[in-house]
Amino acid sequence: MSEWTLLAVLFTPLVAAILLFRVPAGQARALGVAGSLVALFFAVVAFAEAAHPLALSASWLDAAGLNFSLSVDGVSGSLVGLNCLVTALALVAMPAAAPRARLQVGLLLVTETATSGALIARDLVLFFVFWELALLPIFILIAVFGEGRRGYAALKLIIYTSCGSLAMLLAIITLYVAGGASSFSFAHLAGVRPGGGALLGGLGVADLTFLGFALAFAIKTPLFPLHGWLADAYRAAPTPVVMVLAGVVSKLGPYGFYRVALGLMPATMQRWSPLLMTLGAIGIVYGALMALRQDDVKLAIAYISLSHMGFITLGIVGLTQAGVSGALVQMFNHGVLIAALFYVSGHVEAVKGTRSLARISGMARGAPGLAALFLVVALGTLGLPGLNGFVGEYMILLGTFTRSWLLLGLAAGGVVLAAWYSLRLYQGLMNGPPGEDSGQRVDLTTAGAWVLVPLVALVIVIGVYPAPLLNLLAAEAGRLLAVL
Amino acid sequence: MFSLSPLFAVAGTFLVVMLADTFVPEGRKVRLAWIAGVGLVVALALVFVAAPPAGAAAQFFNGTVAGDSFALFFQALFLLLTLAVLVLSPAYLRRRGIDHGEYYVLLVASLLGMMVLVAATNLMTVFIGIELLSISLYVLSGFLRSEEASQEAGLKYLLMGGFASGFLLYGMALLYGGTGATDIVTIGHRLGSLHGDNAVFALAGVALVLVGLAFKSSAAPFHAWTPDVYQGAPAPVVAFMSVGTKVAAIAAFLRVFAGSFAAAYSHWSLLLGAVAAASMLVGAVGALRQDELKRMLAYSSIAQAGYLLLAVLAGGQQGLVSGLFFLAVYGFMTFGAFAVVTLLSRAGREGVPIQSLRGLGLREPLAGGALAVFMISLAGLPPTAGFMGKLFVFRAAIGAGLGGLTLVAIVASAISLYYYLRVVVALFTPGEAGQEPEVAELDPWGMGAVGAAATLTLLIGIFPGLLYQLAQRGSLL
Repeated sequence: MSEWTLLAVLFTPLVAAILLFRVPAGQARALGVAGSLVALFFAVVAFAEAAHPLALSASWLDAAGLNFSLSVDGVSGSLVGLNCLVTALALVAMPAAAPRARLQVGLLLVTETATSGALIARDLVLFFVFWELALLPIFILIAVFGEGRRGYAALKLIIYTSCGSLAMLLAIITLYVAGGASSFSFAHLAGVRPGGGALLGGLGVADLTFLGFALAFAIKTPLFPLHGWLADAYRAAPTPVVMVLAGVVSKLGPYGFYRVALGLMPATMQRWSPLLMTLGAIGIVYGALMALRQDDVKLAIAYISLSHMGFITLGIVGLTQAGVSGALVQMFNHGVLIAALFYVSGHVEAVKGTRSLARISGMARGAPGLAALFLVVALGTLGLPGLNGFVGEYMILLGTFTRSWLLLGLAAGGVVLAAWYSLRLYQGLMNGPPGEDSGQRVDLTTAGAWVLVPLVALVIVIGVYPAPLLNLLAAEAGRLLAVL
Repeated sequence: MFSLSPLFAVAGTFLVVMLADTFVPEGRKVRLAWIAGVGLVVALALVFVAAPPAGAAAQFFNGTVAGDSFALFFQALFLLLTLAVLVLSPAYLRRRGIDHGEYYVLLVASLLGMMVLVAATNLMTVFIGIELLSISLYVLSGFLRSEEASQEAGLKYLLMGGFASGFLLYGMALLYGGTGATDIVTIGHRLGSLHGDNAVFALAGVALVLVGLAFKSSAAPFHAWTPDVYQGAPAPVVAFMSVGTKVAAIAAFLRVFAGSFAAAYSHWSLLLGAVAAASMLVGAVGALRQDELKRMLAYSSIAQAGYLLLAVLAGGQQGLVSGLFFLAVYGFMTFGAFAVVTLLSRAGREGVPIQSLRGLGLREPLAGGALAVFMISLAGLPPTAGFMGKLFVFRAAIGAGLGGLTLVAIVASAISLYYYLRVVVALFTPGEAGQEPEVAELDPWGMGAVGAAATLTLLIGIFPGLLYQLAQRGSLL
């Protein structure tokens, strides 16, 4: 396969978004799903070549050092595939008669292109452009289609993340100038170390540059204590949007830690690793405790996501072979699990008219199919061996083991709490006495089955046989860590 | 001499439009827009024909006016701007009942002033350019004669502008006294090697000229007039002046300070750095509290002046290229934003409260979407031209060792996210049922201008190459 595959992965959703102008609103969703699936096909093709990554580089603006360079290795490929899959499923999850369907589908497709772009870009400015572009449509989607204080939530989300992005922009330019002011490409800037002594509080230019990157990634992830936007945005976002936002777009944070922070500034990252690890470990426990306190199912899932992202960050910033490999796998797993969880929450709200745990119980009787699929997802979330959540978490714990006993203890505590919050959610919704309206059909629709079955299949397949994915990602992590 | 032909063409257009005004009957003044438009298109064509070979010395009238690619770059920009304003204006003037011929005459006169200013290489021509552009604008700001806000705008602009001209002229006199020259290149050469009283005079002169130009570019702390004038003046005039005046003044900064006075950098960099930092912060913080789009954009333009001055301070080839690039980008996005304001303004309601924009992006996808593009671009977010402009300016600044000022710019940009994106949220938040404001017919000509500006803003953000090359050519002083 030639380099054109990369362009196809990147631009198929965008082309579909443009074609939306030409179809009736009723077919917008179908076109969007088709576009995402075609992109998924190309992503799989590109991923299959990950051992010898496809790469493409063209001049964007030579005089300013901008390159249009793309490449798909295992890490990028697995996440791009996840991106295309989750977007396709999110579109399936859209209500059939959604208002302003074309706008909604179109913005989700733009997000898909931008997220893929950020994942396969190999030039810092190109990365930055896609990174920001991935969020703008989400911002508008929440403002238009959200619930509750949507304007506030949308604004909070974008201001939080864009503040981080501005810090990153400063870091990008500093790195570029330090690298001889000739190119923004990753290959050129890898290992460049901005000189300059202590500036602020004894921090050198290299430290400040790294912190600029780290701030952007930590906000996007989000890493405790920069998660202020999370609860409002996740609660306000409609189900398809939150599936994409939590499932894929937020993955750009840990991906940035891996690709940019570790890839370009490994030595400086080593210095900041303990601090970031601590924040990750606190996030695990904090997210888990907050998840236990929520009555709103969607908010509980939002905090579960925060806890999981803490795990992923802990693995990546720990800079151990096992931890980084585990985190890379876990990024994929988390995307699958959290998208499924948010779908379940959306479905429950649609049939019950509420998301309050206190007011829903016993849905399993009226919805056996949903209960079965949800059970697998919940067990995957709590990290049951044999399902996908276990693989990544186990390796992250293994990696943390060699770094710090204290953090290992916190993370292990998070695993215990995970069992609690997962089962609390499952039991609260599915078990117990059915409500008086148990007679009505509350089980999944066909569309709902189409959303959940592929995700559950991935939960099981990766749980049972993670080796191909894990080996590929571990090898790539090993190459990046070798410079330390 | 051929490279001055655009100037002559515009001067000719000015005379023709003024004469034609006496023959065109009341109520048909739109014909003047057509006449002016033809003249400006000819001038624009001449810019491209007249472009001198790179690096060729092109000074005329005893070295007081340059016909170099720097001047031509900006002249093309001003011609495009004025053409767009001509497209935008007739419907607005009819709507507000001020369809007078002087409007077009003054517009072209002001354009001529801008074109002279960017070509000026002598203190005298700098002053003539500034006065020509300003005096026309004083009148235009008060053109809505029946409205108090517009009268206030005209008077305030006249008084404050008169002060600034005084500063500028006094500074020029001191510079001449200190260095014995009015030619900016000669002054630049002599500035570094002055002693005694002459040095004091000359440096005071530099400071006063800086203040005068900072006033024209509405940089803090000389910005106080901006919000009131922008709020009161007719919307298309604001679209014209917010771009034209600022771009011309910053271009003068680039030519005079970053270009000719570069040797005396240490004498003015601290002062200009303070002005730049103050503009960014004052503009950003001031805009936070505005609930009216025109006032908000006024403060935003103060902050943008700060970013533009960053390019002047960076200096050198990078500073000039990034300055030219960002100025062009600033022109497209700011014109576009005020053009949308023009389309939305209705009789008896010159301003556009941000609340009234609710749902506009859903009801009027073109106008609302375009305004969203301009806001995102002003905020400096990709994939718009505003991002590329900021990227290049910051790159030049960091490359020149201005890390601290760039940090201020980043902080100001972070603050600015709120007030720009708040507008986008309003645009895309569906209004409450029954509370949607009536949708008036939007002028199709104006929509064309808005659409063109939005398209350029997006295209330059994705393909910055062509404009960057033009800026590179234009940066050869």
